[in-house]
Amino acid sequence: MRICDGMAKGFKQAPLGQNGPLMGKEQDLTVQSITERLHETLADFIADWGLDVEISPQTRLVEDLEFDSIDVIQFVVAMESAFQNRSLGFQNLLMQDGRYVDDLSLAQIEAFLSARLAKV
Amino acid sequence: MTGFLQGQERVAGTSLGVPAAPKRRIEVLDLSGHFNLPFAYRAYLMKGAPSLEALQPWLAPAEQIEAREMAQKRGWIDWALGRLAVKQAAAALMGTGVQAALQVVKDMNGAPHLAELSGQISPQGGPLPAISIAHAGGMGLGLAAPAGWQVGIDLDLPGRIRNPGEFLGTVLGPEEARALNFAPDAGNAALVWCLKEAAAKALGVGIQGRPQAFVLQAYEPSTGRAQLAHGGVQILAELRQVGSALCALAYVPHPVAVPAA
Repeated sequence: MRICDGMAKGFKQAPLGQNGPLMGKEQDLTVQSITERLHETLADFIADWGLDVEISPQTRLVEDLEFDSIDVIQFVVAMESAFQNRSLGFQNLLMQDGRYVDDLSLAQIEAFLSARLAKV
Repeated sequence: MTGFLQGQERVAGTSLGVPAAPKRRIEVLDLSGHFNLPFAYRAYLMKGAPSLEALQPWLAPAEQIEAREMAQKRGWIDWALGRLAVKQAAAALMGTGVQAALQVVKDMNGAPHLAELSGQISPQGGPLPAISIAHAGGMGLGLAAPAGWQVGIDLDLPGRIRNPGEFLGTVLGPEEARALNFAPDAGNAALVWCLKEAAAKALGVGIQGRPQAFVLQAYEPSTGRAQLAHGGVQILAELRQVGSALCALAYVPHPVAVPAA
């Protein structure tokens, strides 16, 4: 392994957001369809991790699926993409009572998404 | 350092009646001196596959219990390598070889700190080094700096970034993104995350799901130097490429007084 073989390049090319952010697209989502889409997104996200875990509402990202901090942010990105919405406010899910939550269950994420997206 | 964990093959060979040649289980890279910092520090990157049994002599009793739990998990190698690397860095900075007398403990924010088993290394109870740990892709990284310096390290692989454009759109604030004007590729996404994560660790709070709160104010590609801010606190950082990974070391520029342990 080579070490310190140069600085990472700070490339300056096209700016971000050329395609425009995904903003609050109207969708007819039910609680069931939200749950299904969330589970599909998670299954795809961890598909190559080699985990022997059965996904359930009680499944926790960190304790059960061994997410680290970059996984959490990347999963937020994956959910925003899956639901075509960049303004879901996931920071409100990750921060509760002024403190960062140590872990999140799928049930908590489902409830959060349903409160914001489900058609009443 | 090259003798790290070599004993297990000899034990196995003896039990089978066959003398086994020692084989290195861990590759160690000494990163000390590769960052231009205003204080002495030691940093080691480790890669390999340590066994639980071979790890035990290097761990404090409480860490041995934790290791037995971690050995059942997917993140075992990352945990083990990070723990070994930071203890090696701390021992090197302190000039001691008694790593099992040093215990890594975590505070309520999850930040690692060093504790010493009573009087085994410094009977006078001097302040212990500040430490930071990172791991990624089967590698563990440990940093030790003199007490009083707030330091953080991070290690990331651009290959882990799945959707660079949207990832950058999430971790950078709008003004920050405009000012940096980074192309939305995996290298830049990992660069930004690595610097922000290291800065968050230096403040002892972790990135806490709000990466935009750690603002990357400036980055100079020719030197790898960066400046970040969080809640009015300035953090300086340096970034290096280590093989296929990016490694960032961040620190708060003014040390604080630390009472004796």
